Amino acid sequence: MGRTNHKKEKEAAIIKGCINGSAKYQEMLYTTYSPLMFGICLRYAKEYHQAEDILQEGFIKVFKNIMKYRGDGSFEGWLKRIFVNTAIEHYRRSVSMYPIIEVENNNIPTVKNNILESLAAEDLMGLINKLAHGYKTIFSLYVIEGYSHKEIAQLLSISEGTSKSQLARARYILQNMIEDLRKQEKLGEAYG
Amino acid sequence: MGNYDKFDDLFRSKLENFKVKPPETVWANVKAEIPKPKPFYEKWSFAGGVIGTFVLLLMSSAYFFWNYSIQINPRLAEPMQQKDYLGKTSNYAKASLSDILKNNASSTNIITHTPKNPSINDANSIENANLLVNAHTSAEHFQTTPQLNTLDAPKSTSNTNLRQTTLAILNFLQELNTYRINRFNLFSDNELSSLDVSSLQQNMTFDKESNDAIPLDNASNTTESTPSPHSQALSSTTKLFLNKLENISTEQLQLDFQRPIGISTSPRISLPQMSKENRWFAGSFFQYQGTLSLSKQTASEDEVAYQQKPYFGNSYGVALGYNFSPKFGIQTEWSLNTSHGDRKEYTSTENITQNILVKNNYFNIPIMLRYRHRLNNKTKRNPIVMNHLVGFQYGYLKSSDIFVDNVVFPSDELLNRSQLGFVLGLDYDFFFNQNTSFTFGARSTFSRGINSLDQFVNSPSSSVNVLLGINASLRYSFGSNKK
Repeated sequence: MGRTNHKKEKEAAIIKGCINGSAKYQEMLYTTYSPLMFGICLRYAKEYHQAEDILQEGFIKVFKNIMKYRGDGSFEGWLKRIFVNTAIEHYRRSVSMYPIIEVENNNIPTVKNNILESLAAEDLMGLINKLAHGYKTIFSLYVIEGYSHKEIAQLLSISEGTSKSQLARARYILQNMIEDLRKQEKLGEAYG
Repeated sequence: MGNYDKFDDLFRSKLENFKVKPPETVWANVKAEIPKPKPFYEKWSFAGGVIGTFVLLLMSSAYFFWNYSIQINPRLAEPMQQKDYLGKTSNYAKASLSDILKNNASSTNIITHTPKNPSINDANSIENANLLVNAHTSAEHFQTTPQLNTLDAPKSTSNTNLRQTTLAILNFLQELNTYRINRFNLFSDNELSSLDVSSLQQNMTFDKESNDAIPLDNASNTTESTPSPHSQALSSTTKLFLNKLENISTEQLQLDFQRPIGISTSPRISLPQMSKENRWFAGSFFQYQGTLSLSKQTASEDEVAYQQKPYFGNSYGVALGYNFSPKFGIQTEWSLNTSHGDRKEYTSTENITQNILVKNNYFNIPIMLRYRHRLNNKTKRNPIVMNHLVGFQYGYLKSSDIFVDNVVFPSDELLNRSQLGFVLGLDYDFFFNQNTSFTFGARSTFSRGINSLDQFVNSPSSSVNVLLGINASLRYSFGSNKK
């Protein structure tokens, strides 16, 4: 409980400091939350530099709008929404260059979960980053952020069906990649 | 979809809080883009405080100057040597009272100019001072040839004068008994007790035909030749008064008369009970204080107890004030450092206790209106003055720290720098002499979100706090203060 309150006090202090324009507390907020937010940016960005841009833009939005945070929900959740929305804006800007293609193939192989469990977060991020921009965006929104297909459709200005099929395709590709990893692992063991 | 639930959960659980340290350059770019906050002097709260302070000062100054201009009596500006109402030249500064009394004693006509209630309260004018002196002169005349026992007095043209003179003396003595005695220390306590002038006056009546003063108990028996006890008492009172009055120099009297004493439409102007002069005062003070939150607070879900603990601090600084009338003054203070805080204790369901303390240091400037009331008005002792204070306070946060289980967070940039408060106070001035006093009192300051932890824990709601303190001060009043 002490730790909970400690975190709560620290968070409250940071928020108040930022509202009052304290450079010290702005840096404290950045230091505390930037690694988590950068992880989000990397999941949505097409490339590493775009993730940096999203992070930068997201934090500027946070500092300009922090007085609007009413304390109703968790501050971390509020921050995440800002960064996801910023990432979506970036995605929408680039979507004209990379239009989402409807995918009909739902023939998905079954992946054994024990293989998935053995993979580290960094490995999973590596797999997601190998997905096409549209796939990883929809996969992250649905699976990690917990958005519904209806919400995703509104956010990305696509149909719910497209969202569902893109998600299915993303899962399919990820499972294939995991299967490939498993095979490579077996080969490694055989020759190891 | 069931096959993917586990698949999705594994991704979510591992990536939900996945952290990657961003490049250092990002923060530099973010920092450059953050809009700079306005300095405190550009904020409305500060501007409002300054404007409010100036308005208060302006109103107080206007009140003072307006009253001061009315108090100026053109006659007082005339030289001391002047012609009195009879056209006689008098040198009041040099003449002794006895000389004036003797000189004026020969004239009985002047008695007709005596006001119904010649009062030292009318002493705003030299003329009234003369009237008083003349009234006393006649008194001396009757004292030297005792005729105050009117039953023995021949019916003469001075009977009307006798009545007026008697009334004048009685009124004068009555007022002297309640006020001027203190000023000149005329009478000892024993003598005072014998000067029951009001009862004498009540027991005195006048003969309808002759206008002679007749004691009530003798009114029915006008053939009585022996002086009555009342007549004797009056006579002895007059003698005692005049003997004492001899010792007061005219200059001293006139100085008192010239002093502005306030405005009143009443013919019996009430005398100031304290200094009749407008005086500046300055001093230093020390205050010991505690803070209370007036806001209702509830414990959060993981807390079983939430308790506000007392926290005490102090403040010190200098005070400056001006008494612009006998009853009112204005006072400001520069509290160089005011330390106070907010302490709370949380107790969790696991019986773990956490202490949180906010310590603040403020620079405060209160501006207050003083209503003054002398408590020991009827004694000869040094004055004890009670002051009621009301006003506003501007505070500037110098520094602040939050202690969470002794872990310190610098929080001076969390709270509002500028702050306005409402001040109420009561204090007592104990004068050692005419100029030096010791002041002891209590003060309360009401502010919104003055220093509370709730200001940022429950952001953006703010709480109302009251700061209660007791203070002590040493002050020096400039100029002379007549008791």
